[in-house]
Amino acid sequence: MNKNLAKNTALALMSGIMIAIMVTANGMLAESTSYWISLIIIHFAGLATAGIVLIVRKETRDIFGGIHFVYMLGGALGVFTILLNNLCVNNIGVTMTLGLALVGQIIASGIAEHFGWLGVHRKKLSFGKIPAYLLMAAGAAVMIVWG
Amino acid sequence: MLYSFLALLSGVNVAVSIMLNARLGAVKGLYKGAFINYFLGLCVALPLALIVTGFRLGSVKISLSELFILTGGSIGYLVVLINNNITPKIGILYVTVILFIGQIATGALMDILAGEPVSIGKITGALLILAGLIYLVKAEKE
Repeated sequence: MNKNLAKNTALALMSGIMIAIMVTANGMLAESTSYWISLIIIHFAGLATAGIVLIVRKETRDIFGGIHFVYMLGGALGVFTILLNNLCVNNIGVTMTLGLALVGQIIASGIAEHFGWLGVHRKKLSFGKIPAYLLMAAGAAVMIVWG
Repeated sequence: MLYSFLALLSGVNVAVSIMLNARLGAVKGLYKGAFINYFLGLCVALPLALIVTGFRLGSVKISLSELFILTGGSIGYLVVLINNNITPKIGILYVTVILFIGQIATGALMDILAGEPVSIGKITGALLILAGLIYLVKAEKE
């Protein structure tokens, strides 16, 4: 295997491990404080980390300029992603939350790609991809029914 | 059933965020983009929390042994940096497959540690989702 591919694969794996730990930590925080306070703490921690990095990199000028407000809304949506994850993790566990979320994500991005929504490069759904979506839908169904 | 639906919805939300953030990152760069993300997030989270709780947030008591539960936001930031670094090099779908393997394996471990059952249904479902994802990578290449 190519050395860089091995390194980047290891990084991707680590990122996945970190996501599972993060989702668990956030769920625990929501349980030991409250769903609402946890949202503030989580965003504050992220903002502080991102701010420190900007200061270290000397990128503190013109942070908000030159971008349409709509494209800033990803962060606002992130609040609801975290709220939903916290609710789900504490009720159906980490495995099911992350499994089902991935299916929702892939199907939504497939639809956006098919129609070319939100500035996504338009690429029509090809016949060859349908079994992939069916497998994922089946996986989600098995999780929901027998999970 | 309700929570399963909410988990799917969370994924849809992630997909929309990724599309918006791609544009944001392209204009402002990765580091400013991530900062704007958390800033907007806090701008929504703070009033939302105050309104929902009727301006009574209560106090926060976290013992020293569970301080790590405060780090979720920082871990999320690091994940964004890593993913942005590797995605152009090995492709979004390949990243998603490997990420998913890491997530689900660790997630199952976390569930077991927390005493949450990891049933045959969950494992079978996760494997089917993984199979679909790998199929999608192959179909995308053709």
